[in-house]
Amino acid sequence: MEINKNMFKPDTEVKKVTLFASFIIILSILLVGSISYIITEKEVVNKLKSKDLATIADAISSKIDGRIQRAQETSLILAQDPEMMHWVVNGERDIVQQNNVLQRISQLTSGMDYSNSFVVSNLTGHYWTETGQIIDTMSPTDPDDQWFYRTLAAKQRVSIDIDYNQERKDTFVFINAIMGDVNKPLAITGVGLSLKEFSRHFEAFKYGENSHLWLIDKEGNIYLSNDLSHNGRHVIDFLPKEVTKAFLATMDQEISSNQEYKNNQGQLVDLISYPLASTDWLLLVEIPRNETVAFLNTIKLNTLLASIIVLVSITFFFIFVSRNLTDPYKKALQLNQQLEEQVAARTQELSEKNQKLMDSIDYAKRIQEAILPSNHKLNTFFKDYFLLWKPKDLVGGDFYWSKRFDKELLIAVGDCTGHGVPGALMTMITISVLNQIADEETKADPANILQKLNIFIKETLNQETKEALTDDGLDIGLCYFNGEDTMVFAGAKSSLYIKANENIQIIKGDKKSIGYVRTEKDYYYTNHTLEIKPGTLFYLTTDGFLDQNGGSNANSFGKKRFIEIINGSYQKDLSEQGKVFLNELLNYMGDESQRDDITVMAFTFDLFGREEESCRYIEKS
Amino acid sequence: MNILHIEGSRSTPTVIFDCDKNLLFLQGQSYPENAFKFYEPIFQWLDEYLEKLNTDVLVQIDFNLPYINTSSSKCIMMLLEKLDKAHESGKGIILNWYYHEDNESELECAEEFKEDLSLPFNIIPREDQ
Repeated sequence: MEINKNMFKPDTEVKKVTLFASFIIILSILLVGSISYIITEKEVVNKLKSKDLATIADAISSKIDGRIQRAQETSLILAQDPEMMHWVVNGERDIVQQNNVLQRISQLTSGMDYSNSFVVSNLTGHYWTETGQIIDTMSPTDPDDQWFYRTLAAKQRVSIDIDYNQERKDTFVFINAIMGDVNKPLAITGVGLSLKEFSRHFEAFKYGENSHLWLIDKEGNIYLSNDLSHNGRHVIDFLPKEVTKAFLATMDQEISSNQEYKNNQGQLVDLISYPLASTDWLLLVEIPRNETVAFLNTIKLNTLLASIIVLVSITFFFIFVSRNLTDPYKKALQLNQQLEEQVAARTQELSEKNQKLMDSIDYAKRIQEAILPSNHKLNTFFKDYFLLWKPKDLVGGDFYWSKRFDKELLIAVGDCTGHGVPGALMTMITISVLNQIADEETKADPANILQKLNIFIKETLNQETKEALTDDGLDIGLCYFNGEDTMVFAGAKSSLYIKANENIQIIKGDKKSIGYVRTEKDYYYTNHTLEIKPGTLFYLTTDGFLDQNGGSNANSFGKKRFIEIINGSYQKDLSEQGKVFLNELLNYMGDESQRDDITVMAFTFDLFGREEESCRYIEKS
Repeated sequence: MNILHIEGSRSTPTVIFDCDKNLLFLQGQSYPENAFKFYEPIFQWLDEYLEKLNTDVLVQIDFNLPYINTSSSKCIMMLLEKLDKAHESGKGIILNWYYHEDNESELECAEEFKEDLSLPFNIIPREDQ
């Protein structure tokens, strides 16, 4: 039952497997979630850099480019106006022409979206504005007028001049066109654009709260920004030095580039530069990474949530499945328990039956012992004796028997067929028959008693013919002591060992057992008459002692060893000799079990009829 | 007819009765709880075998029984009597009874059996046990 309990303890192995599997599931889900998030983030940033930012920059640059191209056309139309040319050539003296020219210039600012329009004569140096007035006269020494001489020197039909106005916090782009031959220019006409209007577009293109758009020149000066306060400043004020250096170094390559870095707030930002086609400007877009990927936080949260949901449901599913999978095992355990219980019940039943049987046999043992002569009785018969009576089981087929007639005595040791209960039954028959046969008439003739016993047993067990159903009987050695100095022995497959001083004498009984079918009804047994001297020791034994196996070859104990014990210990008291016999037997047996019932009886007579009691060695099991 | 082969145990001998080679072999200690039950099938086989046995065949019987309890010895006797009867009826039977020299009860036992029988009965000592 101890094992049984252990079997039904929660299985730690199953727990371990479940735990391990859960761990693996959790790990893999977290891994899949993380990887998909990382991939998504990477893709988003990649898309931002390669597409979104490029699209923004492209849109802004095309707007600016378009606007500037339009302004170039306007400037050219103005420069090629014949009336204006006449007016300039004539030294701005024709009033009609002047009115027409100034009206045309004025129309450009009032009717179209130009901030300024002007014409500057190379002949007079007069700077005419849309207001119809001369606001300046060009002088090569005036630093403010250097643009004029630069443009003339460049000898380009159309050129762009950018001027940042500190007061107005605005950048003006002047589109200058040369009137007349570029080598002999008459005047420079043009329009001015404020880039401020693009600020609105910049606002629209702004990607997030903290992103920036800058339009810069090759030196890094900011011409335009989504934040007006940035206009006129240098990018170095807003970007780390190394980053600024890095992109300024690659500006000539006229390709868009991007880089990422940490700004002064420690945020990761992406910077993309995009060259404008119509100018030498560069569009810079700075976007904090967290804004680009802001929507990823939602994805992150959703992924996490989905992971948890999947995790929980898989865990539940797994537990459910694993329980179901282990179900046959549990069933097997239950079945096993049922069987165990059945076995336990059967065992209990058997144990009870066995107990009943044992009780019954135990009681039988008491009866068998009751019919065997008591120690007290034996004590009164002999001067000294020992008795080994060791049935193989609780009861046995070995017996000893005695009957006293005044001072005469009959004493026998016998071995009925088999052992255990059948043997015991035989002893009961034998002893009761012996008690009947042995009387005043037959007492001195043991051979006669054996013959009668043979007949009685055969008759009792119906073994008179060869067709008998059973074939049981006994071996017996029977002694008659006349109470003085004579012993008569008769044996049926049994010997009497006589030890007188140095000599040992063995009287073999007759070869036929008693009662068996093979022993004829009229079989005669032989009396052996002996004169006994004081101190003569007599030994009777059944074959159980002699046939007991043991030793190194598991051979029988044998007569030889039996005689050796007698010769070795005859000088001791018989009670001491009994101990020697038992010890020798046990030593010889070793681990072998007892093979048959064992009885050895040794005795010596007080030839003067003494009846006093003395301590005897008795070994009974 | 099949060869009778009974594997020996602690308390029962090994039985190999070979009807093809006409060799009957019996070796081991014999003290079963119920000797008659053990020897019954051996008797049956032997009866059938001896019945069919031709007179020109020589049957060799090898016995090596270190210990026979009382009831087993009855059975062995019955077995030997069957063989003796067959011998008397003219069938060729020779019995070799092996015993261990150190174990004199074996020899005594063999001699007792021999006394009652007329078939060729060789009592042979053997040392290798």
